[in-house]
Amino acid sequence: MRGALRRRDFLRVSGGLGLSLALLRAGGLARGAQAASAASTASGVPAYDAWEDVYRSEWRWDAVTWGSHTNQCFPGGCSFRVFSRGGIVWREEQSATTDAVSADYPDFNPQGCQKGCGFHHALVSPDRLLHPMRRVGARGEGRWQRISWDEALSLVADAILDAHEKAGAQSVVVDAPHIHAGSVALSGIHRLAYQLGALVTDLNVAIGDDLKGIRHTFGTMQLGYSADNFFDAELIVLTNSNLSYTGPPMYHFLTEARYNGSEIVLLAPDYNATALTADVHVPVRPGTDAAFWLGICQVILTEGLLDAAFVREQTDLALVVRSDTGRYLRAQDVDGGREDQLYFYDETVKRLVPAPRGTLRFAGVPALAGAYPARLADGRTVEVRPALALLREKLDRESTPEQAGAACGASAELIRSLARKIARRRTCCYIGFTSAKQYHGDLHERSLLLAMALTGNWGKPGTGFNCFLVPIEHVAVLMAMERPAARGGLLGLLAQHLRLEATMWWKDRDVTDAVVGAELMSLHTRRLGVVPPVFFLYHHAGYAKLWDDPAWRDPSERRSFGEALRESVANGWYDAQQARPGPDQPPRVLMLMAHNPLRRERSGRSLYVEELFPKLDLVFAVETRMSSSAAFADVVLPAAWYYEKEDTTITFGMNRAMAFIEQAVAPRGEAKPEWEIFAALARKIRERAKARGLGAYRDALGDERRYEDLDGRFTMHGHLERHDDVVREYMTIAAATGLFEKGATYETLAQRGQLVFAGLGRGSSIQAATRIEPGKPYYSLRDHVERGEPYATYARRAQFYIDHPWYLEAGEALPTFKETPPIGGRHPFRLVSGHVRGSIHSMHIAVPEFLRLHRGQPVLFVNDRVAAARGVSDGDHVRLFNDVDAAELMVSTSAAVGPDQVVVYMWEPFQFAGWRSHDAMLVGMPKGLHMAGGYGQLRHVFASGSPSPASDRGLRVDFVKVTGV
Amino acid sequence: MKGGSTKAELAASRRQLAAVIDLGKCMGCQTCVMACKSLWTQRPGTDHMRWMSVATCPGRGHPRDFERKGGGFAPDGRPQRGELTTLVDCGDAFRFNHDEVLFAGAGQSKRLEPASAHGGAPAWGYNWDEDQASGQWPNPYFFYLPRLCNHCTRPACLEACTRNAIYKRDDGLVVIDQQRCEGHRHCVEACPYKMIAYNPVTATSEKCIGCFPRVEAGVAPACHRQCPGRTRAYGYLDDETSQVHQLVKKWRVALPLHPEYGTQPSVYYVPPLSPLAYDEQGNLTETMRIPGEVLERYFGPDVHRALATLREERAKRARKEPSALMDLLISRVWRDRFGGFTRDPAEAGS
Repeated sequence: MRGALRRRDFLRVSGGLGLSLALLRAGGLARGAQAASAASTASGVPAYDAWEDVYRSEWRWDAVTWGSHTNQCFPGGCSFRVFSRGGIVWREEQSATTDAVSADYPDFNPQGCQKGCGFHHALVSPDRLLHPMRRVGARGEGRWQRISWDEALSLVADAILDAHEKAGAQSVVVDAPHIHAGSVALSGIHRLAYQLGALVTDLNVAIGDDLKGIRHTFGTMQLGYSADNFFDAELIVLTNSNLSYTGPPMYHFLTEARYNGSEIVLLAPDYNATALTADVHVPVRPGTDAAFWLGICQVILTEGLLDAAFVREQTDLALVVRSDTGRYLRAQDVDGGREDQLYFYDETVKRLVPAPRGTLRFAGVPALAGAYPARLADGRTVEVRPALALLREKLDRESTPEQAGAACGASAELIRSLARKIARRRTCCYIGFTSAKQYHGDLHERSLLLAMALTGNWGKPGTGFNCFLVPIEHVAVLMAMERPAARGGLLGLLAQHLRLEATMWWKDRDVTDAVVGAELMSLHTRRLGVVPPVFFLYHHAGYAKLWDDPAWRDPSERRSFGEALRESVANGWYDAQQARPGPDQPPRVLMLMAHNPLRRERSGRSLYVEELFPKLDLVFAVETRMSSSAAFADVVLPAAWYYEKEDTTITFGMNRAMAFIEQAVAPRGEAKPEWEIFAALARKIRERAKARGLGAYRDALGDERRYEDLDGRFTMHGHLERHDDVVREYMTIAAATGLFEKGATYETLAQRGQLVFAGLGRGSSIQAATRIEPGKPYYSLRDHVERGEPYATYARRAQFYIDHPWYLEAGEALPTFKETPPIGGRHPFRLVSGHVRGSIHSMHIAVPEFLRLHRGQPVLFVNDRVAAARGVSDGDHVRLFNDVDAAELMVSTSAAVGPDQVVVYMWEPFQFAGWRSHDAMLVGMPKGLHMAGGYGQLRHVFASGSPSPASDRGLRVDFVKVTGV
Repeated sequence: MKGGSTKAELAASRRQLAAVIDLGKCMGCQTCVMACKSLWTQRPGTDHMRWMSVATCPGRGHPRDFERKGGGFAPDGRPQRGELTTLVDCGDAFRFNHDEVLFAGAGQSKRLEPASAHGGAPAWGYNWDEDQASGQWPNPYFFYLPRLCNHCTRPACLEACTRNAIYKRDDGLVVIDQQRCEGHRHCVEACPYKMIAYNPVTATSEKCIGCFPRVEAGVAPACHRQCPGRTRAYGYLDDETSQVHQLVKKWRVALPLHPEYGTQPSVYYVPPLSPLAYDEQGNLTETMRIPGEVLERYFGPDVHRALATLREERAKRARKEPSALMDLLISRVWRDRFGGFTRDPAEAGS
C-alpha cells in the first residue's frame, strides 16, 4: 500500500503540462500551501506524508506588493514581487513580466539577480540606522546618542543657518548625492539644494562614470541600446566591464547571442567571470586598451577594409587640417567667416568647400587623402590635408599590429584577425564604466569608437556601443519645477527652451535640437547649483597635495592639475558659477545622502577625514545604514529603504522599463522616507530662521530667496508631501515627455508593476538620436545615419580630431595611446578593480547573508605563481601598498589574474584593519587636460564633462606578506 | 503507507521531475542560492545549509571535498562507504561584529570581520574558492557548477536510512520525513554528492525538497525560476514536449554529474563551451580552453559527444542555418523552459 490518493490525482491532473488548480482549490482555501494540506485531510485518512506540511507551511505569505531597488546597479529597475508575512518582508521574487519585443528575440525574464532576490535581508541587517543620532565622542569614534527627530532637524537647521549667515548659501555642500536613495530622494535632495542655494557636486563626474571619450566624440553620453540588441550582432566586443558581476539580469542576452551564432570577444586584463561566455579572451594589459584599438584601426586602413562612405558622412575625418598649425581650416581663416565653419576638399569639383553644418548630407565626395593648397584671407597659401590622412600616417608610424601588440599584450596575428572580423561583421561593443576610471580612458574610448567608425558600426541593428542612455527627465524636471505639471509647471521650462532656441538660431541658422538641448542642460545645471567636483576637492578637501605631485604627472602634459585648473578658470572656460567653491569659499556644512565618500572618493578615507572634516561645522548623513562615512558624521538621520517607501526606478536604457516600488512594510525604527525628511528639514529651517529674525538669502544664481517660502516651495505648497505624491507627479511629467504609451497613468503603473518605455523622453531621444519602434530592439545614433542629422559636437560630426590647443599640445588631437602615468609611485603590479559580485557598491556589502556568499572579508586576487614565488599562500594576509597608503587584505590565489596585476573589488573601509581600505591609495588623479573648455562639447553639464577625480585602474602597487595574523 | 514499505516501494515513483542546468549560461551569480536560502533555510539549525549551491570548478566544491568523501554505488551496484560532512564543510555560517564596529565607541580599532560559527577566524566557508581558476596564464579556465539534490532514481540516501524516513514521491522528488528522521546521518554518508546537511537544532537531516509546495501549485522551483541566466529547464523527464526531455533524451547534450556514482541523478548539465586557448606564441588555437579530460572527470565520457554536438549546432547558426538545439538552449520565451510549471507564485497563493 503506498502513495496517497492526493499525489496520484496531482500527477494525473498535472500531466506534466501544468497543474489544474481545481483540485488544490477544493475546500476553497486561499493559499496554495494551505490548500495542499487541506486536500490531504480531505481524503479522510491522515496520509503518512502529512509531515510534508512542515515545509508547505513555510511557503506562505499574507501580502504581495510590487518591488524593485533603486540602487543604481546595471541596468537596474528589475520588477519584483515582494512577499510579506506579519509586517515583515519575507522574500522577493522577480515578477518576470517583461515580454520580448517580438518572437525573434529572447524576452527579458526573469530579470533580477541575487542582490535583488536577497534584498530583504538588508532591511534587517545589523548596520541599519533606526533612530536619529548625534555623535557624543570625537568624529568617527562611534559613540552615539539617540535623539528625537525634532532635535536632529534643529541641529541641522541651525548649522545651515549659521553657515548662511557666516559664509553664504553656497557654503552648504551636498556631496555627490546618489541615486541609490531612489528617484524620489534624488529629486528631493536636488530640490532642497536648489531651494537652499546649496552647491551639489556632480555625482556622475565624481564617481567616474563619465565616459569622456564618448562625450568628446559625439557631444553626448546619452547613447546606448536595449539589451536585446546583442541578439542582432554578429560580433560582440565587451571591454572594461564584467557583466556577470555587474549586469546579471542582462547577461543571458550574451550567452544566447553566442548560441545564436554571434562570436564574443572579451577584452579584460584578468580572466574575469564574464570571460566564461567569450570565444576569445584578449588579456590586454591594464590601461593599454587604446593601443589594441589603434592596432585594429591600422589594419582596417592598411587592408582596405575602410567603410569610406560612412567615414565621409558621419565623421570629421574628411575635414581638412592645416599643416602649418595642426588646426582645422576655418572660415575665419579663409574669409573671416565663422570660427566653426570647417572644410572638405571635394573631389568632384576639385576644390575646398565649406562642410555643411546643418546636415551630414553632402552632394560631393570629400577627399580622404592628399594635400591641397588653401588660400587664406591674409593672402598666404597653406597646405591642408584631410584628418584621415593624418590619422593614417600616425597609425602607420605608431600602431602597426606588432607595435600595438607589444604595448597591449595581444599578438599581432590576433589583432589582424579581429580587425577583419570587426570590419566584416555587424559589431556591437559594450564599454563598461571602468573605462572612465582609467587615467587615459578617454583615449581608450576614442580609439574604440574610431574602429567602429572606420567600419560603419553604429546606427544600425546589432551595432553600436553602450553608454549612458538614462531616460530620467521626469526625475530631473522635478528638481526645480515650481508648480504641478497639471497646473502649467512645465511651461516655464518650455518657455525657456523656446527663448534659448530663438536666441541661438539668431546666431547660428544651423543650430540643431541637440545643440539647443545641451545648452538647456547647461542652464539647468547652473540653476541647480550642480558644480564639477574638482574645485571642492582640490581647494578644500586636501587633494591639491596629491594631484599636483610632479612625479606623477603625465609626461605629455605641460601643466600640473592645479595649473590646468587655474588656467582654465582664468581663460573663462569655467565661470564664477561653475568654478565653485573657489579657494576663498570654504564649505561649512556637508550633507551626505546615500554617499559614502570614505569608500567612493579615491583617497577620501584619509583626505576627507584629515583635511575636509576638520574645516566643517557640521557633517550630516541621510542614510539607511551606517556606512564608513556616516560613522564620521555629526548627525545621522535614518532613511527608509526600498519596500518601506514608494518609488520608481531609474534604469539604464538596456532595460526597457521603469519599475514601481510599493510600500510593503513600515520603515524600521524611526526611519523616514527621504522626501519627508527634506520637507521636514525645510520646515525646520523656516521656523529657526523666523526665530532668528532672518529673512532672505541668495540662491545659486545669486537671486534673493526668502526663508518663509522655503518649505512651501519645496512641497509646491502641499502638493508634494509624500513619496506617492511625487511618483504621481512623475507620471504626469512622463506623459508630457512621451516616456510611456499614451494614456498610461499612475494607476497603470501600480497595476502592472512596471511600464515599458514607448519613447525615451524628449531630451534623451534627441541626444541618443533614436526612437523606440514596436517589435524591435533600439539602438542610438539612427537619426545621424538614417537622416543625416548633425552631431552636437564642435565639428558637427562624430569628432576624432579635437584641435583644441591643449589637445594639440598634449598630442591628443587624434586618438592616441599613452601609458597610465606613475600615480602613487612606481611599483611592480597594476591594480585592477571593479564592483564586487555580491553588492551594489557598498549597499549590501555588510549584510550578513551576502557576506556569507564569499569569504566575508576583503580579498586580494593574486596570480598563483607570483604568490608562490613571493612565499604567499592562499588565505595569507598581505599588506598592499603604494607611495600613498597601505591596506591589509586576505589573498586569494588564482590563475585568472595575470602575473603583472592584482585584483581587488570594492569594500567598506570598516572591513579593513584600522579602517584603512585600499581606496585610500588610489588618489583618483583627474586628467588636467579635461579642464580644457571653450570648445563645443568640452564643457561641464549635469553628469558629464570636467575632470573626474576617480581614475584608479592600472595604478601601480606592491604587496608583502603580513606575519602574525 | 510508505512508513511500512520496503526500500523498493520507497524508491519507486510514477514519474520523474528533472532539471537541466546549462553551464554555458551560468555566471556564478548565486541568485539561485539566495532564492533557495531565503525560502527554505532561515529556520533554527539551518543557517549553515545551502540546499542550492554554486561552486567554482575545478575546485574543492560544496560541500568541501564532497567528491572525496565516498558514498554512492560501485559499478557492480554495491553501496560504497562514505564520510560525514562537517558544518564547516557545508559552508559555515559566519558571525559578524557589526555592533562592536559601528555602534560601540571603538573608533577604528575594530573591523567588521567574519568569525566561524564554531569560533575563531574562518579557514573555510561557502564559496571560499570563488573564481580561483585552474590552468596557467594566459590560459586559465574555470566554470561554475550549481548543485542541488539530484533527486536520484536510485537514491543512495534512501537505501542507507535505517529509519525508512527517506522516500521518493510519485513525482520523483526524494524527501526526508522530518518526523521519522532521527539524525543518524547514514544518508549523509551514503549520498556521494553530500547534498544532505545535518540540522543540529532539530537533530534531523535535511536537504533540498525540490520546492514541492511550489511544484504542487504549478510553480517551478525557486532556484530554477529565479535564475537570471536562464540556465534552467525543468519538467517531467517523460514529457516529450518538455525541454528537459528534449535536451536529455533527444539531443543528449545534458548529462548527469558523476554518473559513475551510480545513483542515476535527475539533474543534468549542459557542459560549458569555453574561450579558445592560446598557443605559446599567443595566437589562438581551435581548442577550447577547458580541457576535455577535465570535463570528462565531471560528466563522464559522453561529454565529448555533447560538446561536439553543441559546437556543430552553434556553427550552423553562425552560418545562418537553423538549429533546433540552439533555439532550445536560447529559449526565447522564458516560460517555455519550465515544462508547464509556469504559474506565477504571486498568483498561486490568491
